[in-house]
Amino acid sequence: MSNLTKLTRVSLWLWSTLGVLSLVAVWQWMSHLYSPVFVPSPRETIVAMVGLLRAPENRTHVYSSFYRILLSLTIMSVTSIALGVMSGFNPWIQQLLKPLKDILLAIPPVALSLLVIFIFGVGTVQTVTIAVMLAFPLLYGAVLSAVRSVDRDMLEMLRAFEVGKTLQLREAYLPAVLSAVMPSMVLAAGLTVRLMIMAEIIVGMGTGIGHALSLARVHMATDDIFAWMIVMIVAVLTIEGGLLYLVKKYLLTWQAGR
Amino acid sequence: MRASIGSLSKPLYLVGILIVLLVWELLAAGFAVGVLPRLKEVLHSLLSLAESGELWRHLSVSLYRSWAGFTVGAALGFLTGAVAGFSPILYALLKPLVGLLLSFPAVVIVMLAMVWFGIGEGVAVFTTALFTFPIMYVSVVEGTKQLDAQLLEMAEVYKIAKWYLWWNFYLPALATAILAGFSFAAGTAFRKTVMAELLGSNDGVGYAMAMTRFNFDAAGLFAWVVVCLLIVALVDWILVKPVAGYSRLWGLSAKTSSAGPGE
Repeated sequence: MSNLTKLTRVSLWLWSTLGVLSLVAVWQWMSHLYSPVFVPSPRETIVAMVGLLRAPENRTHVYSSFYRILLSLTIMSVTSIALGVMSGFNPWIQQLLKPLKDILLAIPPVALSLLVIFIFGVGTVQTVTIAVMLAFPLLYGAVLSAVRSVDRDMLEMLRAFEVGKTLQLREAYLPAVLSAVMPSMVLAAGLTVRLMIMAEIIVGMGTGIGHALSLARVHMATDDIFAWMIVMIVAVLTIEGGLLYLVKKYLLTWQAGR
Repeated sequence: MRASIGSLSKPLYLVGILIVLLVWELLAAGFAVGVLPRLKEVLHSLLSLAESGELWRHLSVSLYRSWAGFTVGAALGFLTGAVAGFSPILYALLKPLVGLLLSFPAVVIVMLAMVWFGIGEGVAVFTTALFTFPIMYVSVVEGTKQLDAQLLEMAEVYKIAKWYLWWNFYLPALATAILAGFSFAAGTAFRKTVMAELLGSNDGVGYAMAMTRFNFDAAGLFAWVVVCLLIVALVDWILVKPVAGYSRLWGLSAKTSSAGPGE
């Protein structure tokens, strides 16, 4: 039922803003009820955030987390697109990879992290390995089903006209894969940010936002935890929004220009 | 180009599992001696965990916590989702909150919960409930979007009782979406519980895993991982399979699984 469309875009947006404001209001109210050790007020959180971002070591934490996230995203996209395309064309490969994919989907992420630590030790490469493995099934699955769902009629037609392999790939497969992969990329990017923070905490890295969070918890600095949460939300929204913007700008113009 | 392997897909799956196991065994015996436990050692460790009663002690604690968190989170998610599905204003109001919950790293919530509740039960149940809620909420809202607007209008015209509508019309139509969300939320609940226990508890499966790290007990860790995988498989088998069958009865196709990407 399209009840939701009865509301115009503008009023939907207004109500959502009201939702954000009421969240902040509840937060403010909670901070009055409980001591700052448990719930710091929005004001205190912003002060803590400014203080955090001023300190040079925290900038290093942000940079090193960012570097690890970008590295994981790159490796994850390359492997899952490559394996996804291969499995899409070859059902044997798909079936053989399926148990691995199922295991990666079912395993508790912390358990996989501990396994990686046990086998490979502690370090940046290990955190990247964890994030790549856990984000892999999402994009791999999207690529796989995109390749499989390429319009059969279109393929028949291309084959009937004896169009070359390269043209077949460019005209039939590339658009299908791209338009299916891009939204999943956005999801996978947000997932990778969250996975990386988790990996940094579980592995016990000496740098990164995860490390900074662990320190804040040990010191019972709840205002710092809240501040890092806001930093993280902004990071996730920026990365997702940036990717989404690129998708809309390039994918749509590219499709329109064809 | 697209070879058909229809009847071969199950055997091939088994072959895939065998390959995973074989690669593991070869690595354990050949390369990573002492790092990767042999299959035999893992089985042995699993048996001794079961014999000592430790397996059941930690597992029952974890299952209880994920059940408690799941129940609270799923109930809240279902109720708010059912209202928000029909009230665009509530939907818009809740949008930021749900978006926030969906983009939060769970570890951060675990850390906050550790400050709020201290080490123990509260951390796991709170985290699990908080992350079950948005999954259920989103599934129910998505489900309401599938409802047939014309049929609804007709029901309004004929002044059919609300409860009758719910029982005979909404629930069956929503069933697929809800049950898909339900099974995914169940898998998520267990994984979140394990994560919360690993950081902030002194019993449960997550805690037992953390202990294997301190004791350098690789075989023990693998044994616990096997237990976790079995739990998810069991949830799939008990909850998801019948659900998929049920929704097929209604002529709906559901893609359900308790496993899914997350952290």
